[in-house]
Amino acid sequence: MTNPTISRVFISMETMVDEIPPTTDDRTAPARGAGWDLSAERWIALFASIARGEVAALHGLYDHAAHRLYGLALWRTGSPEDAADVVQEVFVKVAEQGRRLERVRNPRSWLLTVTHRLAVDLTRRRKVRQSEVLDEHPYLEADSGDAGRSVDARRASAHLAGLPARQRDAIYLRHFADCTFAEIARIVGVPTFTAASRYRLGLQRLRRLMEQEQ
Amino acid sequence: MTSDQDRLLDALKPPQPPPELRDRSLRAATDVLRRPPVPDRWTRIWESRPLRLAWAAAVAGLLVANTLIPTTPRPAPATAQGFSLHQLSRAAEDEIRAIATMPRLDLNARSLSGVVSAAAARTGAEETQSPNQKENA
Repeated sequence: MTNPTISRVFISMETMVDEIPPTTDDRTAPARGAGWDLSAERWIALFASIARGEVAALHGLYDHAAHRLYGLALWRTGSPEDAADVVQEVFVKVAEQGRRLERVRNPRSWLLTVTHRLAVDLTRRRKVRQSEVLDEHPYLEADSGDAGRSVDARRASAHLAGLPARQRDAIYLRHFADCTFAEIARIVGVPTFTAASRYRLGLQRLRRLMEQEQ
Repeated sequence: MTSDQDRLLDALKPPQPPPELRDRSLRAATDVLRRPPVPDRWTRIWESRPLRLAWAAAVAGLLVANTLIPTTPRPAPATAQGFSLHQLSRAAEDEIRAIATMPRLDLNARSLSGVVSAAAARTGAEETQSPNQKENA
């Protein structure tokens, strides 16, 4: 007995209030090819399964997305505990969306947007100092068990802690979340040029810090 | 962006989430997923029984009032359509005449044009008279 047009408008209003990106955002381009081990079609299928209430799909989503989402939250909050809280909140938000998840055209970008917003909110609430990253919880770790790379990872983490959070976000989204600059711009809510500029300046500064150390 | 800069972070990756986060997150999300969906506030308003009853009562009240209140004859509306073109033009003429007619201070005074024309008429008559007639005059 619900008017679908009115419901659609009201749903989008409510999602704005909850600071969840609208699921019917036409500007969101389809995800490019495979990312995070899944093709765009499989991401959409995964979201559709969750929209139908399949708990197994939720587990699948965690397996595919949690690592990247946790990394983004950690890079923004600087705290493993806060990052874990953010990831949990993201999954609760996903479950709350229900049938609206079927309208998400780029699930990967949508997840990163929700994670980024929640992490920013949490950081503002707790007034966490971005540079306070603990040695035992670095931003990066070595891909292999190579001791040399582990040292590199620790050094890079220390330098990353000195970057402005915006530049760090851009570097993470570009380098570790495989986002285009247009996607980064949509996720953090800035023009594409600004997103690219933040990435470039961040890398330049990181490189300078590493060279100075050597 | 050079490829050299892109290689700066190669072979490094963000740390894995803590193992207990999986259970925690999935338990919280599953609880939400299994809950009956909570309709948003506009759906609740749209589907609210008291509000529908109130709406039906208001409509019924208006219908009853429309039926029961006696209709009294109303005067014809004083719109522009009520006047004919002739009436309008006559009214306009009267108004213009009232404005253009200046009040006279001295009702016996002669107009300047009357004095001039009288003088001209007199001069013309004198010119047409013969010298004998002038002498007689």
